[in-house]
Amino acid sequence: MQSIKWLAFAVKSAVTDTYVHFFPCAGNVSAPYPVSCKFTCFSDGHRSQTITVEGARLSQPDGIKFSDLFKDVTTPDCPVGLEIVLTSLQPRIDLSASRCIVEIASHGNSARYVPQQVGENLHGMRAPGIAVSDSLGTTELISLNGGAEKVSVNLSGGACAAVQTTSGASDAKPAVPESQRARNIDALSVSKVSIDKSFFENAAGVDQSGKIRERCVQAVGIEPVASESDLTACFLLYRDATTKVPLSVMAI
Amino acid sequence: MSLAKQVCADSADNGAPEIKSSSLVTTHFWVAEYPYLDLTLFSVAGESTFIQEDGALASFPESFSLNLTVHDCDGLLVNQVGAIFPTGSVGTLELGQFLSGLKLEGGLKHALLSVEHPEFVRCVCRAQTQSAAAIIGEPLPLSIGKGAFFPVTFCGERKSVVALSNPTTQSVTAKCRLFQGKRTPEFTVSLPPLGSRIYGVESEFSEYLSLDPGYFSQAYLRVTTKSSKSILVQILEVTEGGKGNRMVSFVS
Repeated sequence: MQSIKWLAFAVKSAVTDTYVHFFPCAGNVSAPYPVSCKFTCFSDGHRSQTITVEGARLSQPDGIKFSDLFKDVTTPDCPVGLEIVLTSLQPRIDLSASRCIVEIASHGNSARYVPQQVGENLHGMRAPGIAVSDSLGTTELISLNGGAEKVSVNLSGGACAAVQTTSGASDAKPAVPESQRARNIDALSVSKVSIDKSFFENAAGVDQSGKIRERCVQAVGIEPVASESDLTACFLLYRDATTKVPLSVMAI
Repeated sequence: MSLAKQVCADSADNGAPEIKSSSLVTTHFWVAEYPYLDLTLFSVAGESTFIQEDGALASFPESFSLNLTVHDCDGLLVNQVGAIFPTGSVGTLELGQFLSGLKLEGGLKHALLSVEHPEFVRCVCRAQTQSAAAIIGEPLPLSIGKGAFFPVTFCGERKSVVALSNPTTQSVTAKCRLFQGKRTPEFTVSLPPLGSRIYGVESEFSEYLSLDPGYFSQAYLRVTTKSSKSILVQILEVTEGGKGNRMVSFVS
């Protein structure tokens, strides 16, 4: 394919910025053909201006800062969606081996994740993600809808009790509060759900006696079931419990 | 320790045909413990039913099993663990108890953790320090024609470690190339079967970096192999904060 597209989310605040790193790659073709990079930001039903950046080359990694692209965009409450497209004008170039990593950088730490490639096979069995709550971290669910139609995201999470090895059995109780189960996400919008205490009401804490520190951790499974549009993506964003700095991101 | 047996429970009450738990997949993690990480493995299955590709409704068994295998840096089998968890709950395993006996290599005791599980189960590994936690993402696979790349930040408080794991039964070589400015130094590594190797990015490329106090530079690391079978690469970034706080991050 002459182009490849990813869906990601970006965070921009006083202490956090987002970097998009990409590596245009065409398998065994190593000639430095030019590659253009197109970035589109969307939120609240609107698509911002699409910005095309020239100068990238095949087989040469590069990156760009979100705030350099979209100077006026900030995300105080909710991340924004980001569509990333790499394109080559060479007719026989296949960019499917290209890579992209999005880095959410805060002072002293960064969370790097692989965005959702549009067109990847999303059908069939999908396993849920795991939201964790303890003294070290909290979790948020970020759902993106980059399409032109409203989509419905149903959250399910039968997981509740953290069970260790083969000890005991817990009755499966719903982890997702009824009020949070069905969510509609408008076209070109981003939804943020904080996996707060209400999700963990049925989750027994597990005391962990690690040699570093002892703590009690609760975990629930979060399983968003969206429409079959390949312009939707869901991520779990793990934040530091104290500073709220993003620490990790996991696509689900 | 013996391996857990596969469990096939009775069909769910709604009469949906049950998924055979023989649809097993293996998720690999590069894990490091000593000297400053506690590791926890979470596993969760989805809710009781899902729609298959052919549109038919299927149900999950009442429980799922995990088979964990730990190989040290030289590919020697250290431990094998079996665990069974009820579907609908989050399985939690503290990995420290299974990682004793690992060799110290490159300043870390690390291993290749292979988790065999049903396809409908997701396994997530979390690393905790005294003050923070991060999700250890699945390492990126690479094979001939399909490399991996990572952004690397060079500054005083950060150290980056690239970890390569070989889940195959043959020795494999890989090449790590740094892209910084116009320079692209590289080094070649050899991985034993089922083994792992780690390399400090700053130390391997020290002659190309300033590393003076206050030095800050962004570069990219490209890892490739000529092996036809996939090997795995992950990057660990350690940030030393003040007052003994240490944060870690992985690409996930």
